[in-house]
Amino acid sequence: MRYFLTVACVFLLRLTAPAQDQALYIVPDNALGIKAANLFSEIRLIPLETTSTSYFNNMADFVVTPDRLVFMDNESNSILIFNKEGKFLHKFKKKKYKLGPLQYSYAKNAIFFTSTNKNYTIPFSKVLQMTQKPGNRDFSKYKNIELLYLGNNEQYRVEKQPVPFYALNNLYYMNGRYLVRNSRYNKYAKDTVLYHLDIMNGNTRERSYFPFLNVAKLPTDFDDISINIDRTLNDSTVYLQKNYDNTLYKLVNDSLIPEYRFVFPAANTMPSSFYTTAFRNNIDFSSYKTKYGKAIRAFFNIIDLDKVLFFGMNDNTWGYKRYVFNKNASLLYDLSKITSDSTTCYLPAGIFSKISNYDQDYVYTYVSPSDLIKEKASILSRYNNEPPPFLKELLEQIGKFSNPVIIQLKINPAVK
Amino acid sequence: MRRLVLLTLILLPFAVFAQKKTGSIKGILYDSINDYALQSASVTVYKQADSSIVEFQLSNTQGEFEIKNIPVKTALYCMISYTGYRPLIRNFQLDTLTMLTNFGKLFLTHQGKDELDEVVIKAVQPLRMNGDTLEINPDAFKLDSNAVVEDMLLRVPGLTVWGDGTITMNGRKLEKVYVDGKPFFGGAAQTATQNLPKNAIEKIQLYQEKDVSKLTNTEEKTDSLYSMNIKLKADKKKGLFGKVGAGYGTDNRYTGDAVAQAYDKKNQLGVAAGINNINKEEGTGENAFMENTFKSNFRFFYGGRGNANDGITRRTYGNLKWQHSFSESENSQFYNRFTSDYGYLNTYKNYLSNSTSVQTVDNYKLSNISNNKSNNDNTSNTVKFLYENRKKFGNYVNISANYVNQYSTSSSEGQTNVFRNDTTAVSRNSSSSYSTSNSNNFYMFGWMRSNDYEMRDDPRKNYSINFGGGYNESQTNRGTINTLESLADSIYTNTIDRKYNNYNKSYNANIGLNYDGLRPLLFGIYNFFNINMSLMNNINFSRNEQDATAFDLDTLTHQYVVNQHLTNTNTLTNFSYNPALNFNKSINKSVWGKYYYWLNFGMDLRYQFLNQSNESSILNRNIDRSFNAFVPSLNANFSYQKENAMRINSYVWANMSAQPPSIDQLYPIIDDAERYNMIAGNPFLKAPKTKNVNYNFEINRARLNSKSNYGARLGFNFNDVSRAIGDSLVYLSDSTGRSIRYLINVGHQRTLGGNLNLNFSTNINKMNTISFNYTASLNNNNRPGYINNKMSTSDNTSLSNNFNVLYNWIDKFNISIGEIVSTNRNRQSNSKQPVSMIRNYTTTSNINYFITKSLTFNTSVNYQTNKAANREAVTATIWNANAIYRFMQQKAELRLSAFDLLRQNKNIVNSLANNAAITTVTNGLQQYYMITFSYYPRKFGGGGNRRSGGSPGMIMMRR
Repeated sequence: MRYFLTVACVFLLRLTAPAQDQALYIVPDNALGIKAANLFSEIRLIPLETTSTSYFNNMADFVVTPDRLVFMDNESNSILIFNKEGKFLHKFKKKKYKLGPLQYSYAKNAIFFTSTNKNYTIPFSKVLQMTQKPGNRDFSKYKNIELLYLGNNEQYRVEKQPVPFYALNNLYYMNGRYLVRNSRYNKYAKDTVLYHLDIMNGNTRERSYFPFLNVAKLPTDFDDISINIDRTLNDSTVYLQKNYDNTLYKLVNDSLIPEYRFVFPAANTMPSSFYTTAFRNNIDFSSYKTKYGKAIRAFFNIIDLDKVLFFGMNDNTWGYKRYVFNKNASLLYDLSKITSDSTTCYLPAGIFSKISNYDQDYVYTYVSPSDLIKEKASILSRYNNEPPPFLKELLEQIGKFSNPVIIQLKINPAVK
Repeated sequence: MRRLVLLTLILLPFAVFAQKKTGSIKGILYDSINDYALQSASVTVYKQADSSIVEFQLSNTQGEFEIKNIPVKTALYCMISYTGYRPLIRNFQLDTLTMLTNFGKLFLTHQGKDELDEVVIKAVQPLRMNGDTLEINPDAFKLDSNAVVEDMLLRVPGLTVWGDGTITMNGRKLEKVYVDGKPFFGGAAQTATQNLPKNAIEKIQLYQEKDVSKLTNTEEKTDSLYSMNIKLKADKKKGLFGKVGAGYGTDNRYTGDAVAQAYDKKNQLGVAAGINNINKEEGTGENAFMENTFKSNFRFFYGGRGNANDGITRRTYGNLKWQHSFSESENSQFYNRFTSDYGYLNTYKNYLSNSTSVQTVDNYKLSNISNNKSNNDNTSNTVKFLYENRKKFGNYVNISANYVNQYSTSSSEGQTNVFRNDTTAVSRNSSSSYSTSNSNNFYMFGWMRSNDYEMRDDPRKNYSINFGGGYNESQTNRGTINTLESLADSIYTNTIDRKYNNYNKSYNANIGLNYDGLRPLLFGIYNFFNINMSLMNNINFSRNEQDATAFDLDTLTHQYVVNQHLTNTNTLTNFSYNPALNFNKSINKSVWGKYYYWLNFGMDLRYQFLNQSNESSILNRNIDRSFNAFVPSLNANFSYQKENAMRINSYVWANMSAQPPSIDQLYPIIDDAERYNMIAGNPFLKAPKTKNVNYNFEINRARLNSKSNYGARLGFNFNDVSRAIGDSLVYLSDSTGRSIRYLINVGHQRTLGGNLNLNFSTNINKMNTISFNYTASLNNNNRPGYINNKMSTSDNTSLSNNFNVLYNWIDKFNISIGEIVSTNRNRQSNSKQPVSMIRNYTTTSNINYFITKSLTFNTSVNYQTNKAANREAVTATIWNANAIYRFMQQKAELRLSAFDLLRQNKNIVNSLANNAAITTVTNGLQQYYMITFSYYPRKFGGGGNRRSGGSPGMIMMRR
């Protein structure tokens, strides 16, 4: 018995103890550049098939599944599906409801998406009120939650999901449960302490993380303090970051583990007392934020690979940058300073700042046809007008009204 | 012809100068350790002699740079900088044999960790996009220590500073200029750009600001304002500048101005006082804070011309201005501040004029030629107060109050001769009069708005309130002696010697209550096709009490006897209530990287309830009536932007309105001392209905960093009054040329107006720019009426074409040449007389020649030819010159001015009215020479953070 207890204690301690809690001291302003060949070893260009049905202009969202490339176009309000060769497969147009961001569920092999009814304008305080006192309302009138199945036998079936009472908030689907984010002061809730992240199963709240004081005149009264959620290749794991907190957490089912703890120079860090500072009015709040203009606010597009970590950061003045962190050498590189070379077909460096997806083998980015056309002359001159055949064909075919070109990049195993 | 030759002669040498030979440099930049190319590194070329900037470029994605337009045979150095690396400097010089210098592959070394504290480097990018804000970095421009912000703006690619003070970026006009988020001494751009030293500026931001200050649908467009914010360096948050000057000249001419302006983080205080008798209105009164700037690249000659109706004026003023902000916030969108002004102004005018009015009547013409001489002494004290508060985007409070006290005395003498068909003298009138008046006027206006713009709270609580009120009291005493002689047909003479005492008191109050949350109140969260609805109410009350007494001289008793006909008391009360329902919808579409458009429709369904009562001691002027009318309006706003190509803005506004005829149109009190223009009322006048359409269109090029920019603006205005109140002129049969104007309802009165503006500017090279501006405006009004009981429609057209060229060679020379051709034409439909036409040609030219850094020469020529029908052309050439010498580090100035060197100054003004074309020539100052000495005290900074090693943003180099 005692032996069992000791083992259990040690086991529990190991679970709760932070996994990799070394602090990473970096200076974002001093991030270096790198030659593309040192970071990437392979490139594959996937021009998306352009036909009258498959053409889309606004790439509002982009998701990579094991065998599909899925896009959301907010101008035509549709979801487009291509295979990894660029062949167009299917277009789903949503009527009356405006599409929101896309997610992918590995277990169901389906795209999860929500959409809001264009005929209703629900101001934020009304959302709080309706969520607090749902009554008998049918929330599917205001929002739709659907799954678009990608399986070979499903024929792109769209299945409507029940719309819970908290659906008016931003939902994140995770293994049949929803992650609900509370980013503002809620005057309709009687609790003094609320949580930025709630895990909801049906109508019940299972777990809550990131407590905050639900009191007026604090930062949550003036601005959003939100949680950024990034997916992984595993349905049960996501990466989380709370605004102004420089730690990246990993949520595995129900346990929250700090994964990377960044420490930035004082100029880039918001004082820790910020969350509990009271402000008289909006003028004082915006002056405070301007004073800490360079403080890092949010992390986004987190891609955690074996040897490198891709992420983006933005600050209080809405400037943002994308970085890649070399875990072995503890060096930070600025993605906008990568020198493109023959490994990346001399494509404009802007493509590295758009790395947003990944699968087992590659990271994904894209280039728009107008950017490619602008760089065409300089790319050809690098190759002395004798580019490799696949690139030659692409440059000849691409026109101003073509679909974007998806780029697969393989990380160099010997990255240094 | 003469002008064309002059133009070519002046521009020719500069065309030659611009064709110098130039070479180029190139290279590739690499990181010395990690072997990768450095993108967007700053490569700047400077002159070794004075470290002035020659060219600038950022390296491309492969670390390469190639800079062209490098002057040959000049000692230069090239500085390469990049955050985190030590800067690299290379000296070089191009000559006619080596036009290209290739630096090859240049390796930059990292800064050591310990070097970070000693050397502070900022990437010297002159322009960069930060989100949707364009930022200009003053440190990228090497100018001398006296340079002001305007000197830097002239060198920013894509930005044009026009001669009249307007600033455009890529063709788009900057509507607001702030310093640290606050308006600077009134908000005029030049107060900031021509006074603040470039070295006090940390950065300049250009961005769009949503113009949420528009209460209801108005004639002005409601899109965003393009604004500029000048951010001061941390240790330059306070400063003092000003000007003290005095001058004396021939003919007993003098001028003196003293202005001091001081600012810190929360306050701006200005004091100004001055006196002059050279007709100088620019830079006096409240404008003293705006015009007496330290350095201006486009100096114009001040004083001399004055306004056409001012004759010769001696002006004395004293002003105080204070702006206080309750918080130190530098955000221009949120503020809490008040501004107060006090002004004292005394003007003493001496005025001579000669006016010719040609009236077309049936089958003959009447010419009224009058000479008038008058003096006027006016003293006023004005106090103004403004409080503004905005804490959230949609919520703000704005209250303003004004008080003016005025005292004036004047006297005048005049003579009018009337001729029929130019040769027959039909009558003559001579008059002399004096008047004294004293008035007090108080007015306040405020509005508050609560609007959940970001949709955070409850939109059912959206409302806005505006309120205002005023009080006016005035007392006027005047007298006139008027003698009329009839010279044709019946010959007689009649004299009227009349005195008037008028006491007037009026009050008015208005309140508007607008409820903007009508749609969420009626429909809840259902957004009703996204059509916004508001309920508006306006209540207006005014009361005007008048006590008028008139006395006539009795020739027998030599006593002044009360004129029963003109003596009266009158109280006019107006009460109106205007409710309205407003609908508004916006549509927008954005296709990324390609285009964006926004369309907005609004409609006001408004009804007017008006109740008017007039109580008068004159029996038939007692009325009590109601007047109700439906007065809707609608507007549409369109904005289209094509990525990196062009921008189009367009708006249209149309409304209907109706006003009942006034008591003075129904039952006027006729004063027979008004010899030539007598009016007869018509109690049966019906209310006219006005339809008004206003359309505006603007297009300009929106390409970043382009060498040339163009813009075009088109405006169109159409006004149609049906059942208008028009004139039936009956000329008296006694042939004196006098007429009575009967008011009647006529068919339609139409006014059509259009204006066009085209502007184009281009940088010939980094130091030379040329800009063209063409404005044309056309105005036509068509007024049916009767002359001597025959239907006659007056068709009046004015057309003016204004063309202007400005050539600027930065820091050396600028010249602007303009030509205005304007035509005024009056045609009577039933008359066989030729059309009355006045043509006016004006050629203006202004030249600034910066001979050395201290010596500037300025000259302006204004040549005017005015030709009225059947008359001799009146010409005037006014040639002025200025020589300005600056010393003591530009802070002291000695100026030699010569005005009207050719002794020809005249002011000529043309106008059209009904069936008459009028030309008025007034006296102006004649030639004078003057010496003026001014001193510009300036101090910026002091206090605040002190850092060893210089202020932040300074580049310390080790060569």
